[in-house]
Amino acid sequence: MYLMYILCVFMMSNDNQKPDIRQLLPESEQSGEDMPTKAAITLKLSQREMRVLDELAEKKELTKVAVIRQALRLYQLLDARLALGEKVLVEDAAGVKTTELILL
Amino acid sequence: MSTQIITILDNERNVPIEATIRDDLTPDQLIEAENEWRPARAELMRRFKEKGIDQSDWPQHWHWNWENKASYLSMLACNTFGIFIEGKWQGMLMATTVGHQSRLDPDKGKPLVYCEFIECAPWNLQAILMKLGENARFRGIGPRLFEAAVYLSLDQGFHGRLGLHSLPQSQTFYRGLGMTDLGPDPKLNYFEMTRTQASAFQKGGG
Repeated sequence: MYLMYILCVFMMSNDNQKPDIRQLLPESEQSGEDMPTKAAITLKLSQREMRVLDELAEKKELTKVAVIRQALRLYQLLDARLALGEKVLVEDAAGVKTTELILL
Repeated sequence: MSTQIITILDNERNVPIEATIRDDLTPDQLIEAENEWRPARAELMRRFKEKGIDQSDWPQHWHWNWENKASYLSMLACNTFGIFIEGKWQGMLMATTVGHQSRLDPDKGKPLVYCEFIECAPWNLQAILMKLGENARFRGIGPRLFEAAVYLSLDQGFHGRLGLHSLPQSQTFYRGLGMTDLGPDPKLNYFEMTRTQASAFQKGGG
């Protein structure tokens, strides 16, 4: 299998991937605290995975890194709900048929 | 957690003052706010009853409890902001960055930041306090929290897109910020801010 490599640089704060609002507010409103820690990982994706990532990034108008971040957040959220014994249900467009989604 | 200095209006002295806005709040901070706000809410409600103000004019978010929201903080999708002045929390916002999509063209189907809760401390609720003939202690808490959510959306690559469901009492506030009212969904009205509206909001200085 051909592997495609992308380098994902995650702006990681100490424990979570949260934005640093110091970068967002006007300079006059920024405090002088040190930047949080950043970490970089190398992600190896198959061509098929890469194609899906490209498609999602284009469809959602996000960077590839943003798509992966979104996926991580959603995965954690669903995992937490399922760990509580809850179910993930998917409803059809008509709002009639509900299917339980098995995940993780 | 990061902290920034922002400007808030001290409504008693009618002068701008420095405040801090903090993100990535901790469970202890949510509990601290709730412990400060709960008795103030109860006192406000007591005075509403005492003055015989019609129940339809009572604050509609009185059942909110920030302590109960602390369990969401461990989720990467959960983002919080709080404004702190003179040793007290003056307002808080909780927003999520997954699970919600834009309903408005041209970005229909694209992700947005969804504001789960925005609340000002009971002593900062100008529209509510006016019914008692009083004024808020600080002004501008809500808009600055909203502004933080817009920046969060920009940081996520969502171009400032925001969505929320508004209590009836807050609808005027969100319309004033430039959001589009999409009507009942199914009970509360759903409001959305497009990238164009977010841009206009920023240019307008929030």
